[in-house]
Amino acid sequence: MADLWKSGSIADVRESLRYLRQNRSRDSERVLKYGYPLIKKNSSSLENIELWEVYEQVYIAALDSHNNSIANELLDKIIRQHGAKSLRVMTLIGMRKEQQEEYEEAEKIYGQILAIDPTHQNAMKRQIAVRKEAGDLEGAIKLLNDYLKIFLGDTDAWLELADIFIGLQMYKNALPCYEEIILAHPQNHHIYSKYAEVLYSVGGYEAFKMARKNFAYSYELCEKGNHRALYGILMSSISIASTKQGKGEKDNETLFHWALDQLKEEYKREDPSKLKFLDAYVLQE
Amino acid sequence: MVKYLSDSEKEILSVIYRHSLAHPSQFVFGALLGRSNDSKVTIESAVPIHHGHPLNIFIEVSLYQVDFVAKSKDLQVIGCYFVSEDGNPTMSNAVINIAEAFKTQFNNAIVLSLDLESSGQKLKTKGWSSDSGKSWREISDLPFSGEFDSIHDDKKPSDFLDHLENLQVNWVT
Repeated sequence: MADLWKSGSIADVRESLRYLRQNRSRDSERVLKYGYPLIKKNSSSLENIELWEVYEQVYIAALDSHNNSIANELLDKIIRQHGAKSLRVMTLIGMRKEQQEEYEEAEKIYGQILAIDPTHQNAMKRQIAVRKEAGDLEGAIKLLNDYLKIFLGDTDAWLELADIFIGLQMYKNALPCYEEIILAHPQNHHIYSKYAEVLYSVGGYEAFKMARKNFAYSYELCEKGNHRALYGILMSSISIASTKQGKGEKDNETLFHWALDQLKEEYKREDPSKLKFLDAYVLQE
Repeated sequence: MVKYLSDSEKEILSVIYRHSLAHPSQFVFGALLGRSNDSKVTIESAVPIHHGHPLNIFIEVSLYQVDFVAKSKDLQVIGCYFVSEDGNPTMSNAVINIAEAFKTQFNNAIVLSLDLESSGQKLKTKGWSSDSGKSWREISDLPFSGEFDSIHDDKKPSDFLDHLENLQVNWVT
């Protein structure tokens, strides 16, 4: 994708912008650098719907980059084209208020949107973002829970909620969030590792065992380059061995040595000079 | 009372600052290595460990390796550094959790942070000491300060998380 940007051709820039929109990703620096000239000089090469999607995309990139003059210019054009009463436009105005740290104004706008459409997804998400920015994590958690009652399948929202709980060290509360994501994406090895990492933070024999199990499943789903899972099995085994219930458990020792051997093979293949660092990990007997 | 010194303050500040720049709007933390005698702790280097919310597993797994490397250089783990998401140096519960883990390595552990919020031309720092195992107290005479220009370097430091993605990445040397 980086190559597409560099070519600078209209077709390649359009393709890059479309790719980001479809994947709901942001690359604000490049979107601004290449997207703004596209709409300023070559807007006639874009079809009408695409043109205004690009306007919105470049506007958001300008907000992210704190380029206020471009943000104001584009918002002005968007309002003139679509009107300030459009719910989508109102959301963009709210985002400008957020960027200016006028959180009360932003919340007022999102409240107005939700009064018209109580299930307006973007307005609900922006409300959550405002609470987070304002440092009101309790408020953000409440709003996220309300949001997830309607949009149960929104993986990003579950991740966001888990992230807030982890930041507050409320690890047990983060676990059900990952369980929902696992239900929706049972083949995603990353999620099993993340779930295991939080289980490890909960601590205790049972949690360490569950962590080891989930790290092992993550590795089973994807072996290639999954060092995080191997280290996770290693550390879970060490922690299990340090508990009263787990001390001397043969299965645990077997898994520990297996994980250590796998890591040794990985280091032999990738960078043998670092093999010696694995000597640091000793199973406590 | 222990005194904290350093002959490598620019290098240490550079590592910490660049680690935070590599992960803007994320919490970052790392280890501090050094030497100690009865009344003096000399901080020799900083080792980036993690970016994002610090979970126990990453603190523990990296401490094993950092300690191993420190001993091989006749050094010891003498504390940690952190830079918070908003650049505000506060001993939050998450920071205390990390700091307590480092205190198990060294009783007079130091916690160092960058105060990006109030830094102007000059980078400001804040530090706390575990004061021989008791609660964390702020250190008034830190040896760390620096002009931004003198510590600027384009190289992005790699941490243990980066190493997990690619084992060829050097995160601790």
